[in-house]
Amino acid sequence: MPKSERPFVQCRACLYDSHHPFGLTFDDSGLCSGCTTHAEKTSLDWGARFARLERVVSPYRGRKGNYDCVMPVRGTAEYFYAVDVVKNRLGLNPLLVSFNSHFNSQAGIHNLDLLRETFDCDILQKTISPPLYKKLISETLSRLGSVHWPWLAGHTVWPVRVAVQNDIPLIIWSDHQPTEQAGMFSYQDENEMTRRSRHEHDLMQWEPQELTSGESLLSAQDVLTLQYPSDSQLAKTDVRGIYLANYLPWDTRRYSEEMVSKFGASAAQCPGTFDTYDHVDNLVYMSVHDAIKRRKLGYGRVRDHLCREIRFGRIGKTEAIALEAAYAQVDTAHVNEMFFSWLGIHAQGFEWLLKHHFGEALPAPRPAHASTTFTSSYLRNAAPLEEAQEFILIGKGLVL
Amino acid sequence: MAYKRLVAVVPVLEGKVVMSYGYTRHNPAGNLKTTLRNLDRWGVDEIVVIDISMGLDAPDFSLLGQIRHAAIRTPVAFGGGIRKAAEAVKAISLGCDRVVVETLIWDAPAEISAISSAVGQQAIIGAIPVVHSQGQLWAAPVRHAREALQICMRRIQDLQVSELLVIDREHEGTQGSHAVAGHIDVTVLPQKVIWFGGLDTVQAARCLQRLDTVGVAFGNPFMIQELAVHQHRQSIRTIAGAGALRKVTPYAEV
Repeated sequence: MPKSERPFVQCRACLYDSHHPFGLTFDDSGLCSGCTTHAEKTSLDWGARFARLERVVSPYRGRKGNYDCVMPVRGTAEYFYAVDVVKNRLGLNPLLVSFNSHFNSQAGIHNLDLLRETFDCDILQKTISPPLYKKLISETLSRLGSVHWPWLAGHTVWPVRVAVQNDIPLIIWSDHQPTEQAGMFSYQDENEMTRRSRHEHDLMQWEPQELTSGESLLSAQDVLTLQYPSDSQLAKTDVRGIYLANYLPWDTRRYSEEMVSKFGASAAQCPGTFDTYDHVDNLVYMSVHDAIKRRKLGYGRVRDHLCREIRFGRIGKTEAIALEAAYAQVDTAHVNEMFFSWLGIHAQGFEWLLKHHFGEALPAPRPAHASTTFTSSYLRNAAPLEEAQEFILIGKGLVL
Repeated sequence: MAYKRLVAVVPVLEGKVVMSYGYTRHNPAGNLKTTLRNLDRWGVDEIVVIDISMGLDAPDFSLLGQIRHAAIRTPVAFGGGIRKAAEAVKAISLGCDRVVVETLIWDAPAEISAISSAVGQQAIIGAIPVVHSQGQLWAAPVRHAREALQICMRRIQDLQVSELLVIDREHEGTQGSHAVAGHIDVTVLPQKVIWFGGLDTVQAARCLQRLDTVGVAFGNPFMIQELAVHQHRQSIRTIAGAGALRKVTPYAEV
């Protein structure tokens, strides 16, 4: 049945529907695959699953003269939890790797600094040259309607390249977004990192070299570092990437709150959502990127947060719908202007690009009144992201 | 000597590739083009695309457009909703190499003969879902009541298909739980067999050593791990011998 003829289905439990970009499936009772898979968080024997994780990583522990594993990290509280598990519970010696988004917030820089000091880990940070990063964003914005593609491409390939180049065959990721949101795999599948998943979900089915075709700002040389290692290189190193969320009942909110309390990780108010932990390291994610997402999909990141909270039983669907409407019209003009100025475009040009890629904006739902009891339960210990005056390019405050 | 085949089964539901668990649970697993290209790059020997959308009374030919658009070298067999010879002919003309039929085996075996006349018996695979229950094997087609496999044997005796895809229906989507091949004597089935459902590499290697077997098939296991086809191939060759499957080297190009 062609896509246009398929029936529209709304999940009976969460806010997602059959238009979800990861392609939800629905069971006979009207429950989406994301909710079905999420139910495993309460039905599986997680003690046994963690024991399984210990067996999986055991062969990699204590590699003489080398790190035991590579761990991609970002400047958010959730990664404190991941590193705590890997370093202190699994007893591994990880090499932390981080791909610079160029749009760092104070909270994000603080978190990355604190992360390496708290856990006494080496960290390898990759910063693409600022002029090239601008070119990448200009190209992906005009070609794909995305400002997030360059970071996603780098974040998903840099750990793999480090693993291959340094002969470290294990990469440990926190979670797999398509599984957490859309229930792509059962946790018992123990899915691992794949080129296919990166290509389809992170790269929007555009390989870096494809961005150099036609009249492009980019040359083949420009995208070399974003290219995934070849199959033969992967086979030679025997590199594999596992997800902690297959072995722990991953709860980004609970884990983040624990890390804020335990280690002083930063949490901050973000525009467009109540979640003070997700992407607080990136000033553009919850502003420009979220505006693009709203235009493209008809909803913002706040829906992802609400679906997670509904599934964990921390908010009811009715209240979630009201909250989503309350966050429908977010003023991120200040942060947007910073981005436009950084990239050298005007707001009208940005709007033209959105219209070109995704059509006219749908009318926003009427702002609704929502209780603040739920939203105020999120911790805040850093300045709101809207108050930022500049993107922090590199660790100690070099601005671009 | 012709090598036996390592086959990938790709279930498609409402246009999306899905992870399938025992015919009852289906999780979204991406789009068809990306999946096909990935399996092709990994050097799988054949890909079976089966549209499992409910209520199909005719093939979703838009899927065949996607298969053609993927522009892969690996042979593709397509099943799901084929009820008439003309539909099989159209499916072949749109780019698939073989067709898979299941419901027709029970509904209209004469139509299978018509398909055979039109596209050749070598281009038809008959799918037989099987369950092991109450101490015996049952054919368990999706749209029909179960029947003892012995009765089903008589049904398929003169069926004009080149191979049978025998599916352990209950264990489809798992690994190491295949419970069908071991209960079927090697001389019983009238056509050569591709075994599917619940296999791990040890069971697959054992199947490939049977005289009635031309291939072993995997679904979910090929979706969850990098270089999964290479790893399965290597493992099976180690267990069953290098002659069991052809050797394939991972691509050196990015």
